[in-house]
Amino acid sequence: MITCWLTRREISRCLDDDRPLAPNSERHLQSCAACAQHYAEQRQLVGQLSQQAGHDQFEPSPFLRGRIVAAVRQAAEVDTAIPAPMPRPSWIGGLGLSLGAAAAIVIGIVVNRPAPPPASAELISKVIQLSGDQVIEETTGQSIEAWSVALNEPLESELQFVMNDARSAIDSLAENFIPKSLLAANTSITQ
Amino acid sequence: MAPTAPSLEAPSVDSQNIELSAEELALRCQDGCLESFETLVDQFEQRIVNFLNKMVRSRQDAEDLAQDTFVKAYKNIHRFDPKYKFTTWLFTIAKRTAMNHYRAAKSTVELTPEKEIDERDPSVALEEKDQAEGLWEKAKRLLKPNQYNALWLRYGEGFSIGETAKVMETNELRVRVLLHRARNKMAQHLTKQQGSQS
Repeated sequence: MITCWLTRREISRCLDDDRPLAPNSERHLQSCAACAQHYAEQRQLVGQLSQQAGHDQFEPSPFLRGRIVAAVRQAAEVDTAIPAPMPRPSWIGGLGLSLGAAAAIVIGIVVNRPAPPPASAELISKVIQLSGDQVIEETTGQSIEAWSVALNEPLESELQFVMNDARSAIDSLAENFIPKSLLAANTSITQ
Repeated sequence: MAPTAPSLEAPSVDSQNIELSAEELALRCQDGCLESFETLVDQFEQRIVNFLNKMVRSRQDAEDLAQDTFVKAYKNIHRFDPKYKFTTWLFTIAKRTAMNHYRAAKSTVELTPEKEIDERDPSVALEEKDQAEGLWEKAKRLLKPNQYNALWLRYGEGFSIGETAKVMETNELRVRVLLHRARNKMAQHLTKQQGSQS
């Protein structure tokens, strides 16, 4: 039985590689009718498969070749329509370096510039009192910066008032609703 | 990226191209000769369409996929390595194109027209169908897709085991196993069919 198994494996390999059987397998086929029949069936099948492969093929549409060629030509035209990158002149690198250095100097000057003077209440009232036309007349880079700082000040003070109100509300709630013993044990709540 | 500057207006080289191998034509195409690629289309159009038809079972889809395959091959011709066979490379592209189509088609529900109801005994109808269909149709019905593809590439296209493995993007051992199982299943079916006839 093991010889049959080995022979059938050899048959399969020979059919895969299109080569004749080894002499020992040939000898086995002469003595084993089952393996000989298996070999004959397999060879017949392979022969029929190769033979019928041609019959099973169909002729593609006569327009297919034209379609394919047109699609390929279109792909070729699209690729050539994309302009190739221009060769970079050698002076581009030097120009880039000098532009970078100039940018660094400008940034240094801007960063080290003295801070604008603090906004005063006078400035705030002036801003608020200005009419639309006057705002346009007096608008410069510096005035916009000064106004924005001045306008932020009342917002900060307003926020401070809200925080204070919230603290006092929490304190009164704690005094009225939390038992004194508990409050004494954890004084940190009111802080 | 397509090959560099394809010469659309290149002089006709068809007469020379016919004598060149597929690998040489592909190399010319890499140098920008579009007509060489057209010669390759002439050489492989029918084989590719039939291979795709085996995979997708629709002539119309097979023709559309063949067009996609050749366009993909042209766009990627610079990747072709002439150390390997052009046929194997092209069939690999075709197989991938078919697989992508299959994946996309899986997500859509295809409505097929209702078939006429066969009122005969199912076993009789099946037997009649079995006798009428060709060997490759039987193979398609009986075998798993991988087994069928391996069988077609080996015996239909005449590829070696190594080439079949390359197209199927697997190893030679797996191809041998697929072929062994496919042949045994087919042989068993044919023996059974012969037995029932006699």
